[in-house]
Amino acid sequence: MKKPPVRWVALTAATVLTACFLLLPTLVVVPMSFNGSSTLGVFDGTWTTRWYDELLTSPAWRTAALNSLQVALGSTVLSTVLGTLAAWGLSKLGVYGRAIQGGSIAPVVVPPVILGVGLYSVFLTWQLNGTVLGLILAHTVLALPFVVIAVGASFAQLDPVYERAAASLGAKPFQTLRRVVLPLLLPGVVAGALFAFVTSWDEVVVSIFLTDAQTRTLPVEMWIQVRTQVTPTLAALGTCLLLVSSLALIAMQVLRRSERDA
Amino acid sequence: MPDNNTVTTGAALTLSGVTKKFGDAVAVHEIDLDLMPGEFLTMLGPSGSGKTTTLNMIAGFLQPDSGTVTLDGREITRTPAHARNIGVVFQNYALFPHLSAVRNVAFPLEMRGVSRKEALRRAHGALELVELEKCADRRPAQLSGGQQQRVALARAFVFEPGLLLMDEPLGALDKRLRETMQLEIMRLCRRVGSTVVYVTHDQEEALTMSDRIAIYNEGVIEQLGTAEDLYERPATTFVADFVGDSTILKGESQGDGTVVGAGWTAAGPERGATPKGDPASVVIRPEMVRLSPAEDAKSTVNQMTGEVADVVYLGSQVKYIVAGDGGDEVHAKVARSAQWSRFERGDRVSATWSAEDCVVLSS
Repeated sequence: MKKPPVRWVALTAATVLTACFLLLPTLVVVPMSFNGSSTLGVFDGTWTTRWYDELLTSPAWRTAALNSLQVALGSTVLSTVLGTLAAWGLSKLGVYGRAIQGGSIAPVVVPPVILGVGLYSVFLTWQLNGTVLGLILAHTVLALPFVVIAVGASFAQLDPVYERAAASLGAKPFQTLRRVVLPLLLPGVVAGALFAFVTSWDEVVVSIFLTDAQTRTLPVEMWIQVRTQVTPTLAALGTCLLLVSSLALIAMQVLRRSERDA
Repeated sequence: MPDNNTVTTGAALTLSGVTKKFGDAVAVHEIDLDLMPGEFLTMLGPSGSGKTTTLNMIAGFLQPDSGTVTLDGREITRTPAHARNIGVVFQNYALFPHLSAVRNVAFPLEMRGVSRKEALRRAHGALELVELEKCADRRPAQLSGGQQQRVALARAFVFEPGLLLMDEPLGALDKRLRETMQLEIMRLCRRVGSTVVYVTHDQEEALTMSDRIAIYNEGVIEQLGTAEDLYERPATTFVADFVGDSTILKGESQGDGTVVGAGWTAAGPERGATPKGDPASVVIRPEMVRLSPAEDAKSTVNQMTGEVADVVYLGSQVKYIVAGDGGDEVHAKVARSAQWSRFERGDRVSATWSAEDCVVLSS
């Protein structure tokens, strides 16, 4: 057998090392979650699934999970609807549309802490602090740019002749959107929705400002527990969250591939 | 509900003073058009001459800067496209890729509130008319270019619009298929009875299909008339050059329909007055030119003596390019028949034509 060239070996080694560097800190929660020791990060050589049982039976975690799900689904729906409509409108404005779209990604650039403080003070007057609705609105602000970008990219690729054709066939603008434009943009809309979901699901900084004991989301609950009691339940939860995010990511990749092949 | 066999009455279309600018560039300037119900009008011209812009203003995709569009006596200049009830066939068909052929055809009916079941029934009928019934459930991507074209046609006439617009609908097809489709479109249009505005840059297509042709050049209609008008009585040298093969000789007007050029004199019917001393052109169609050996030349008017510079074999005809002694060139297409005298390159010949077969134009 021929020896592989040195360059190839070096490249493989570098790739593997980089992958480990990127992935290991995340993946280390998986073995930690099955660790028999009751202190997070201390291995005693035994394996257990009791942290998962605890996770499922603890009322605090259950409330947090329910909150997170409500907030994530709510802000996904809201930001997907608003973002898609915004992208539709912006696509009609030409140069101005592109300028506004540039501005609409501001929430991604603004540090979340600043957004958190701002929202907190506004929500004080509106009495939205500590409510699920308040969280949904806040996360919608954060998720909206992702939807606008994802759907806007699909719009940029959409041949405007389809809208003209629909109009010539008697479709009113909203019928055109529903019957022609949206089906053609579906991959972009779904990708935007997934981005929105993941954004809300993982959000911690803004949520810390806006939640109270009843409306803590999963990441906030994790952060509070880490500061008080360091049990491997956290690792079990981390593994679950990792799974959800990975599924969303895989779904997005599959979608992108099917869009490219279409 | 009318059936597919019902003949729709075509709509009358009037454009008056329609102008459209894009920035500083005038795309269409003061267009006036009057279409009779059921008429087939072709807009013919080079790309960028404003024909598609005119079509888009009729369809409602663009708003004219000034002027009005009237359909069957109703002004529709500002009416949105979806409320105009005009069928449009697009250059690349614009079939909805996520819908099957029959659902594409049913789309305009569903938009008009026809029930899904009835819409599909009539869509199947329309597909039958374009002989595509067997492909009804295929997506556009699974159809050939010609089949997509037929589906697009069926979709544009299924809701029985009084006016059908077609923007170079055959541009993407190969020559043979294009000729078949030309006949098919004509047959269909006659059958559904719609008024048709057809855009093309292919002059043969225009001559074959149209009742009347509007020749576009730089945003204005240079001439509007039947194929015969345009071919036999071109109003400008642009039209003469664009429609069919022609020889255009440039000379000086004598003021009485006679033009004198380098080594030739021509006289024929004038289109517009050409004052004495002004530059004038003479348009001669090559098939109207007769050739004879130079020594047989009798007349000095409508005659040019020269040498055969090239011989092009066209099958049933032979085209001679005659280089006149004065430097001008004249083309002659001669039909091959049992008795014809063939000339070779370098032969001295006399090219002649009758006064009624040439047209004198100013400039």
